[in-house]
Amino acid sequence: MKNTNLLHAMDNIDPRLILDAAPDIPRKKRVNKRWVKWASLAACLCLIAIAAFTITLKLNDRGDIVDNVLPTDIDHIIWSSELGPDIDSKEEFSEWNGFFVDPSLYDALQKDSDEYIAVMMTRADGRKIEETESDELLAKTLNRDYHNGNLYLFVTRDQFLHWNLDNKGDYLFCLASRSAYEGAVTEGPAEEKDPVTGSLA
Amino acid sequence: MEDKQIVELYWARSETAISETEKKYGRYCHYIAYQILYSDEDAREVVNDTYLKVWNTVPPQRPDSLKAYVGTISRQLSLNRYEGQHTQKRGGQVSLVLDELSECIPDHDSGADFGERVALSDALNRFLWALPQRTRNIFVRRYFYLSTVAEIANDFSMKESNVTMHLLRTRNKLKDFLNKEGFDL
Repeated sequence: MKNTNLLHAMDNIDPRLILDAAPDIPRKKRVNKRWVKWASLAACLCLIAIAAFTITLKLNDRGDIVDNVLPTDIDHIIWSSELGPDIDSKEEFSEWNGFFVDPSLYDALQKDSDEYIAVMMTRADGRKIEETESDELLAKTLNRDYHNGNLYLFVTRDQFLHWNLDNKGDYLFCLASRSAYEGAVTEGPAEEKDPVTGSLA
Repeated sequence: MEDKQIVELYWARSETAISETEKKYGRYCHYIAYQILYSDEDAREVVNDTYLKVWNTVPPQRPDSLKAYVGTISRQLSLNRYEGQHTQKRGGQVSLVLDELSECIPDHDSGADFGERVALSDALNRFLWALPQRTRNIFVRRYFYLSTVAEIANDFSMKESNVTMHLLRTRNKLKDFLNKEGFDL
């Protein structure tokens, strides 16, 4: 074992010598807890803001379609991602997929096939429907109109209720009475066509 | 809080004394222990043992300088722990310092009696007080605090080679001094 006498003897040196030579030990940088608290709060607020912004953007994506594409002055329109409402009674048809239904639409649906309902289709993801695509979608069976990537269809009550369309979830639909549609869309359907076959009247 | 007030708390057996000691000298004790043990965990344990030893020895002790007192206890406990662990390969300054000091007192007897230790400490004190302050502080920094040569060089604005040379000359002086004092070298 190495001699430690001198090393231990240093324990007994005059305390004044120890104090005189004492090293200046740097303080550890303390984390400012107050700063951390406020930073955490700010980070939380940022996260909330980002989340809110993202959600708003997503909602606006859908909203943009509604605002930009819909002929907004059509009365009593209904947007929905689904079709096929239960319209057994006027009272029960007061709401459709969470939307208020004006009685005039109910009346329109109750009428014979000479009164058509305007259905506007657009993609749920906001992309435009190509005019040629509408043929594939609808197999040229329905009377339709095409404006700015939106497809306007004129369907009868029965067609509306039993409309069998693939990939419904990809589209949004807007309903209005035919008369309301014609009053709102200035260009209107170019020609009066048979609503079912699409042939000219 | 002043040292005297803290010592009074020890005498009053108030546990606040320990927290005040920790607040004032915790880092100082840790530094001393770490320089010897080179392990943060061991150093923390030694610092806690230091508080316990101070609690058990004050009273009856009433140290004039609490700082020197806790520092010395930390150093003693650290050296004891180091010697208990010395078979393990460890870093730190102890083995280097022992090598350096072996020039002054050779490895002939590690079990020197109490009287010889007291005499050695007394001689050491006289030797140190006779040195110029700067030289003395450098020596104490190296052989009491076991500060590294690089650290001393930084604190005293010197080159490391100058510190090494300074320490060598002081050790040679100490060797001559102890020789004249009749210590068996």
